[in-house]
Amino acid sequence: MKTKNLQASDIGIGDQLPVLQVPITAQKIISAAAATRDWQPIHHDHDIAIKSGLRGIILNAPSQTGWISRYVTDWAGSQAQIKRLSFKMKDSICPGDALTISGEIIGKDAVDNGLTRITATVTLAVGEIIKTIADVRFEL
Amino acid sequence: MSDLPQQIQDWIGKVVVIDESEVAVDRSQIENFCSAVEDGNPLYWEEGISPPGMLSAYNRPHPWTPWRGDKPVNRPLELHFRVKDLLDLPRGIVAEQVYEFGVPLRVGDRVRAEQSLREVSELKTNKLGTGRNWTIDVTYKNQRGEIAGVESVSFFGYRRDAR
Repeated sequence: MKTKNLQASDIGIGDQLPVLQVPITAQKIISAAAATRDWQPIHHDHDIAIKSGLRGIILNAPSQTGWISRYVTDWAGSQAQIKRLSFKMKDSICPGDALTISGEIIGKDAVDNGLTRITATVTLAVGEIIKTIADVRFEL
Repeated sequence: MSDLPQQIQDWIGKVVVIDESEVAVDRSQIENFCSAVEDGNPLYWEEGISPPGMLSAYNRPHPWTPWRGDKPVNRPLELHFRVKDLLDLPRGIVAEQVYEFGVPLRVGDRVRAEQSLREVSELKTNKLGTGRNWTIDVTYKNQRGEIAGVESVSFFGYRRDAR
């Protein structure tokens, strides 16, 4: 798969990234938890997750990082270097959730190395409920 | 004068826990992750670069090995649990996570993780209970000592039966 690469001049503050719909399944949660070697049972064992007061197994933090960075680089292109990613997880993401990922450009600055630093805010939501909100800084 | 236990005060700003990864950065593991999050970035599939979301993956222990059975030397974020135990705060939530990325990890790299305690707040009470905020910084380095990234996790540790 080849991705197109945006130039810094193509990007402006206020630009909206295209919305991505992700139907969350147990397979998505478990396969990403396993790939990040995260064996906490709340990421693969439904009964333990329920006993822990959750709705079901939950998407772990590294997987959310994966979805967020993939969302940004799918749009900006593979040459976009993710430099900083901060996020707050406000609610759990479980199997059956229809996840919507959206984003907006909120910052653009020149960097000493000749590149341009772009900042996007990215939101993971299910319906009206915001699950995670992130700021992603990348350079082009 | 701080009311923190002396051990906690001694830890602030210092590397307390060091983990050497049990596994090297591995192409199959990268492909498994990219498949899970449907990431077609050719840098990961064709160039052997590890995606940002996998920064912490290599330092999580195997569930079992023949030389130590199912008892890992350190738990993931071991320092967090030591702080939590010393402060006698049985419950904890992650308030915020921040990743700063440096040189990319590549297939074959070995990863060293250095955990340090950045800060601990005064006691505070909110709707969850009474407790403290603290931040653990984990600096990940490759085998050449280059920083691949820093993961900062801010916790609120608390107990419900406020004292």
